[in-house]
Amino acid sequence: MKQIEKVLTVPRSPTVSATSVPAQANSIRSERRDKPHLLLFLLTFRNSARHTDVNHEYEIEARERLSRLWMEVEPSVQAYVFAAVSSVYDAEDVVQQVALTVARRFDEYDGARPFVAWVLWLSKSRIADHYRKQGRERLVFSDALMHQIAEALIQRQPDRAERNDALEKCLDKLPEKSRQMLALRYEEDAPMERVAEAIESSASAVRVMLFRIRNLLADCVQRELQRTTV
Amino acid sequence: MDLYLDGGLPASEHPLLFERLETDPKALAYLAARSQLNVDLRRSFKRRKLQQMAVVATAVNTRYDSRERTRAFWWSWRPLTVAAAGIVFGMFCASMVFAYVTPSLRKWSTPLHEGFEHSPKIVYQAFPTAVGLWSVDTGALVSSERGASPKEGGHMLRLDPKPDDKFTRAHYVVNLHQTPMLPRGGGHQAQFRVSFRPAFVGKPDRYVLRAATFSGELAQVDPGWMKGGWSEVQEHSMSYAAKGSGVVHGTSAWHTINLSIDVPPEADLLVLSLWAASMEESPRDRGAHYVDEVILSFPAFEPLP
Repeated sequence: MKQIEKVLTVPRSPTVSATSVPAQANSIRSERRDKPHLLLFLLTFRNSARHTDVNHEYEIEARERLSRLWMEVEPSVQAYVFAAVSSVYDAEDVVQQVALTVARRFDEYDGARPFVAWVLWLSKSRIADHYRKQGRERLVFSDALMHQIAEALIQRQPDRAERNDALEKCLDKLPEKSRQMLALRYEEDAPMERVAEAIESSASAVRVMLFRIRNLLADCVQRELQRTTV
Repeated sequence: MDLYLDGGLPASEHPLLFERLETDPKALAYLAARSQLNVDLRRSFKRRKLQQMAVVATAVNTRYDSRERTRAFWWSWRPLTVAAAGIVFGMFCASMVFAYVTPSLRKWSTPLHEGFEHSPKIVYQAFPTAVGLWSVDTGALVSSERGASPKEGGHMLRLDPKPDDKFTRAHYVVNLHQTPMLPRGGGHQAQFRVSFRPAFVGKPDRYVLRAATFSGELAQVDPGWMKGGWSEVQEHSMSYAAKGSGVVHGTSAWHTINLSIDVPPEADLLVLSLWAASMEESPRDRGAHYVDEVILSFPAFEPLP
């Protein structure tokens, strides 16, 4: 807790303003795939200009802490944004915007609250911005529904690491064809039609097969988690 | 829910989904879990790809380093390399000849050719209770009547109008495992052909063919899926196809509709659905329709000698 207090009392450097950070970040926005490294980059950038600062050590701590926290919650942020924004590429852009906001406003984070709750709260505003840019008056989901989805994801956050380990085991158990379909869909972000073409089937059949594979995986992950608990 | 997350749910159905999410906590939990699973899968597969690329890059570097050392070794094996290339070329030529000849070996397997000549088993209810059985909402097997003759043979099926629904439906279920000459281990395309004609000329008639494949037992197929909206059947079937067609006003001729459907290798059942309607608001104005020559066929391959 002392460490958190230290982090929260770090004074801002006069040499680098907070507003210059997003300007720098915009130059790398086009690199969609580098999201996990984005914050590291930002914070490295902020820190490089202030190595003479007396609070240098505290800055390093803050940077490390933010990186660690972000790595933990990023999948939940993605799940939240992907549920509300239909296009994969738009959703990735929104997640990047959330990352920027989190970096910019990290000083405001109250360490007593769960980090994931704070980040999802910020994400809601970025999703609203996205829809506003598209010319829509309001969110696709209602405010109450966004809140409920965030709550559901917060509840799922604690066993994320175990869930991921279980998923890896379950993926190894899948037949080759199923893995091939998942690879096309998730690794290549291929639309259903392209997956169907690759496996010589129809798009509707692919939808059903993917639905079943996901069901199998969800059940398998659940079983693995129960076994680990026992 | 999966359709929505995959971006396949039409915008018109979004309000219904959102309403359910707001009122049903289980549905909401499912959406959160599914969205999380999708994200975890994306991350896992992208990580695997990066690992694979790293391994390949390492292998390429290693090979590049050792290329100079192995050059002399390859020169000494040159005659064998030429022989191997010759064998590969020969196999390629043989494949080309096979690809040219194969289409001529294709034949058609016809698991269903129904002319209603030999009193097929019909149940008068919503859906067949067994494979190989016809179900008809309401109707009868008839010979020539009211100036209408069967398309072929001496009998046809009459679909009578219903007071509560514009469409009268007939269904038939094919067990794909009992279908001879189907190529195993690969998907194929079924051709479904049906002839309709109205009993009364001059009504706005409409005919629809639907087909869907399912895995599992017939008892697991809900009759409502074949009657419901497209999203219903798409959600539950392995593949699905439909075609509707209107009849030129005043025509009394037989009207034939063809439909193709992809049959995935994992499918167990193929359900065929025939719909006929006079698009009149008042039940009194709706007329009967006749069905004849229902044919289901698959391209089949004769075993090579």
